[in-house]
Amino acid sequence: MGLFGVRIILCCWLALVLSACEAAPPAGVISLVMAGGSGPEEAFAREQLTEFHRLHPHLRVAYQSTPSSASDRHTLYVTWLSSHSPEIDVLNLDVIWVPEFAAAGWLLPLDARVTGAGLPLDEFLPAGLACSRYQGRLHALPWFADAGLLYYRQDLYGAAGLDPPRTFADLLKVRGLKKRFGRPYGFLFPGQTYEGLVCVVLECMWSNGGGIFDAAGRLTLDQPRNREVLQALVNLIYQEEVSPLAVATFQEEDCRHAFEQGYAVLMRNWPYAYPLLNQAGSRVAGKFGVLPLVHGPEGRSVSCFGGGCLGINAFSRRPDAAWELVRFLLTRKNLKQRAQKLGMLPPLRSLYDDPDLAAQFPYLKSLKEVFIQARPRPITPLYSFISHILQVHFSRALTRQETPREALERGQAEIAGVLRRFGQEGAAK
Amino acid sequence: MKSGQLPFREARWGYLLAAPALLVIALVALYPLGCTLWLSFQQKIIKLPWLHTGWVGLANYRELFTDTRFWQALAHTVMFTVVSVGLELVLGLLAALAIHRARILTGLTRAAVLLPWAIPTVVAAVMWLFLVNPAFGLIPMGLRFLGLPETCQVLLAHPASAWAVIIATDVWKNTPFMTLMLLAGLQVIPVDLYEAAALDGASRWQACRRITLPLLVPAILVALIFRTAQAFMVFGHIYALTGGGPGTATETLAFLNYQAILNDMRFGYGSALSVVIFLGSLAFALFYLSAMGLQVKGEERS
Repeated sequence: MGLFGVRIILCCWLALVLSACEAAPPAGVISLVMAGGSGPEEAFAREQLTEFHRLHPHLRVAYQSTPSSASDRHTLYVTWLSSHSPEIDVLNLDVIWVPEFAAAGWLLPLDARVTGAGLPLDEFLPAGLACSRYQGRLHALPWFADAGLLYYRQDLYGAAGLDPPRTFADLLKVRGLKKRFGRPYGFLFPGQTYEGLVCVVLECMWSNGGGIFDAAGRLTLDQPRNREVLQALVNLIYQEEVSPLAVATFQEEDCRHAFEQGYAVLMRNWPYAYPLLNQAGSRVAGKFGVLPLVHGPEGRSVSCFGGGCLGINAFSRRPDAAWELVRFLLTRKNLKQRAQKLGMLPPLRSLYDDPDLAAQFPYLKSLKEVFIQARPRPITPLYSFISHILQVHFSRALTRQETPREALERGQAEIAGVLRRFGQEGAAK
Repeated sequence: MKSGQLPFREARWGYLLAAPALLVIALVALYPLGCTLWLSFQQKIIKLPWLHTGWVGLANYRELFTDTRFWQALAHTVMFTVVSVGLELVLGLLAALAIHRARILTGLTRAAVLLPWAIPTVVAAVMWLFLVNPAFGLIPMGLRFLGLPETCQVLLAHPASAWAVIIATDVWKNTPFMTLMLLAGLQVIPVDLYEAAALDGASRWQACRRITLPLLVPAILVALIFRTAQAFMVFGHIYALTGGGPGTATETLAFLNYQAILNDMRFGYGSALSVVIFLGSLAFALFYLSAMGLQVKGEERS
């Protein structure tokens, strides 16, 4: 706990120091603050901001870097926004926070501005737009897109004369491949008690025709299709020897490191891993391919949608200037540049056919549908509570502390309890 | 002389002189404690501001005491505290007795023993995380060598072995502290007692049991107070090693509190939990203090 407190205090202190360091702007110049990730993301944002300053000499943007851990950043944002602080104008949000912040009244509705600017909303990936809407109104705009992908060792599959996997049943063949090529691991997915596990299990459920809520918003976690999927994942570990139990302690980076070392045949991961696995020093550079996720007998492949949005603080004193910045960051040119430099894929459909991006990410064109069909996690301000319940029960199922049936039954009861307690506003849309 | 017997003016002076210290204590300890107590009767979830915020009476406590996760975390915390502090006491005592007798390189030995204690908890936990890493960790490598299947090599994926790793980390890190405290206790035991015992024909074992251990009790109690209070609040190891998992199998009270306040942002519920944790450590402290009081009285009598 102290760790987080200290980090938050440090960040606030840094904000103070930074704001003190920056020279007072000349008269007539409007100052803005934008909050986003640190590291390469920050370096690139600063590059783009230089260009922004050139185009808008009357605007001046300070970049506030925030923790790269999503939960730390979330805590920081809630601390700022719940006190109605006008300090930060533009926020880089994880897609799952938008409903929560929108319901709290912390994000400026953008519909009128979007219409006024004539932004073509159809251009955005549908899931990105769905994540940005709460109760019919836009509270953010998609900035980059993530979708679950299946990384596979093209060379091993080729050598064995096997077709790339497409269904859950195809995963079982990995055991043979693993043995034949002496790899310790077959199929890797992140299975630690954290958000990534929810994404993985959810997309498996969706790919088998199941899910947590049905189209009418009713809670349907405890259903045969979901049970089948969870049982299949457990079996991969304990019966089929396809996935190691180690996945129960893995996050996506652990999976990526193991795959990069050549330990595994298959891996479920986000697009960020692609450029990293092709870097010099990677043992699998040029030896792997990317596919849509495998699907069950009852469904078709559906990926979980992730990524980031840009939102404007409802308490900002300079909403018009903030909107200028959002529009600038969401121009086609800037989104493309961001994909090229950071490997964070754009939220615009048409960029998936872009020749420059296709050269850099050869899978983009063939997997365009994966991004268009990707599904958002339940859109509700109570998502973090729901996700936490799912994390616990999915993890217990993977480590055989609960049977899949128990995990889903208890998870369903607990989620129903949360929805009941926190009332109607929490109902999934 | 009891304070009640002091002349009024002297007593007044005494209170006046103590006032700044009392004020500071009230400001930094009692005021936050009062705030926490007050919050524990409220519903306040700062990420859901549209929800009713305000007085809810004992609802948070009712929810807490009917939540199996709370009881599970309490059981985990007590188990962790008893096992790790117990192991540290035994190992620390043995190490202290050995170092106390060692006559060469005393400074170097003591510095070396203290090393793990000087490492920050999270760093120590990350070192252990590397040791148990299923891909390249030393311990899974050993288990593989012994021919155990992969499912037995992933120590953090089973509740029992995950606890073993957490306790090992704590014992590794905190035994030196115990050793140091007990070593200090050993050094104040007068040598003439042993000489007298030797003259009376007492064996080494008798001297140890009748002189060393009884006279070490105050040092042991002080060390136990520190370690128990710390172990009861264990958070860093859990956070860095398991994140409370698999599932909730390694959640302790402090970790649950972190979940409630920093993840769920449920300030009311989290405060209720904080109050319960506070009362728990207070009970520990009072128990030890009374034990020490008895000890001191016993010494006065003899």
